[in-house]
Amino acid sequence: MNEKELDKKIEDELKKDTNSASELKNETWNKINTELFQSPDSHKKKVKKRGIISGLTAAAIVAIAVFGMTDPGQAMIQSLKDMFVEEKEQEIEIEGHKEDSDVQLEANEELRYVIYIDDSRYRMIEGDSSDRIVPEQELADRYPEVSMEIMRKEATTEEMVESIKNSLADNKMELRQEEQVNTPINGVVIRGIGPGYTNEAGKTGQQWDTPIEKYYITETKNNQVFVIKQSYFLEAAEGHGARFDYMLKSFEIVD
Amino acid sequence: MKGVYKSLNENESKLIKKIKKGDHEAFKCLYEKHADYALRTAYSITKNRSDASDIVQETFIKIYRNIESFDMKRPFKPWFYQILINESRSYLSKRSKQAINIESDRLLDQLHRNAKHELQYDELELGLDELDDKDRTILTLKYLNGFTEKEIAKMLGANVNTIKSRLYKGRQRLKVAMGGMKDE
Repeated sequence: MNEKELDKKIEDELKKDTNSASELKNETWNKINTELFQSPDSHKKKVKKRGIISGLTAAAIVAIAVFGMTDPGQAMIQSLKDMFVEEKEQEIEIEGHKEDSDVQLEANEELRYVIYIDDSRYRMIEGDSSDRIVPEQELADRYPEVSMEIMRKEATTEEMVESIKNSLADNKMELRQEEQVNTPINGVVIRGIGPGYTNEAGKTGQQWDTPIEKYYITETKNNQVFVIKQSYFLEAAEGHGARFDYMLKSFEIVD
Repeated sequence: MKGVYKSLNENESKLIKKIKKGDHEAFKCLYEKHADYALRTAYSITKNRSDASDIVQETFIKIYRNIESFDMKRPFKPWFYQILINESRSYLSKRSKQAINIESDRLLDQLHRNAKHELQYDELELGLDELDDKDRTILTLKYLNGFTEKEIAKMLGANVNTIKSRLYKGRQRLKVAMGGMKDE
């Protein structure tokens, strides 16, 4: 069987296999008609508990948000989560190896952002003023902290850069990077690394468990900034560090 | 139904404008136009008639309630199917947590299909049934709905190469199921 014949056979089989569903057309319409046009409150556009998941663009989301605010009587109050694909597959490269990972949408209505996280490896802990993405399985005590914290601050980029550099200095961390970047997000990155020490084998300098703090600062439209703080350690730079950056690529502010 | 909508065709554009103004008849026309393949698609993914009907119901309700936000410059069909696929995935995920019900529902559907097809199962049908949900969804979108790999990738939020590779693997598995050799 050649390729064309196979394609045709698959197409025919799918049609044949789904003929019985096609018969549900009238029955399904009756349910829609009742729900939309005949139920007592069908004149209102109801807010559904379960999310509406669609692939609208960010522009459309903003349009909906504006629509929602300007005409509260009729407008749909859409949750952020409703506006993005709930789950998607992402190809990433970790330590030279390509892998597919399923990423899950996380949305924070209050801070107005969304991000996709690899929920097979990480989980989101929501806080009052920030969210933290941490490894799904808690690390043993001998490992330094591994997390990615997302905060929204009433400050300018310059103010945050100053504050972060002071904090790194207070913690005796050495500033290794400070520059404007456009990936994984547009903004300023600041990276600090912990002080070296002499290990049991007599090696002096940075060790496998030397902590690293990496901050991304990106501006919102409302004169605020998002600060994303990544914490990991030297040996985990190409693992957790790279995975955090891949997840951060999907970060989107929805103001 | 095959082919890609590069932009809204004139009739569909008129229909959507009318729906935006609250015209129920126009909405019914839109339903008539898309319901058949929507039901087939949802059924092909879930393998359950009752779920397929519920998914299509939810999808059209969402379309109606969100039609205001639909950008007329964009093609309707991918938007519609993205919502349908997301609904189908939600159902699959819910059902995976209710495994016992799945089996009984599947059994009922199987009986229904057996009666319809007079037990004329062939290898390809069995091969399709054995594909995992993701591969079956991709094959359905390509062969039943006529979407391109690029459109499917956008719809599923996946890399186009991943879609191509899954399509290739899916076809190979079907070929083997029909008694052919891989890469024959």
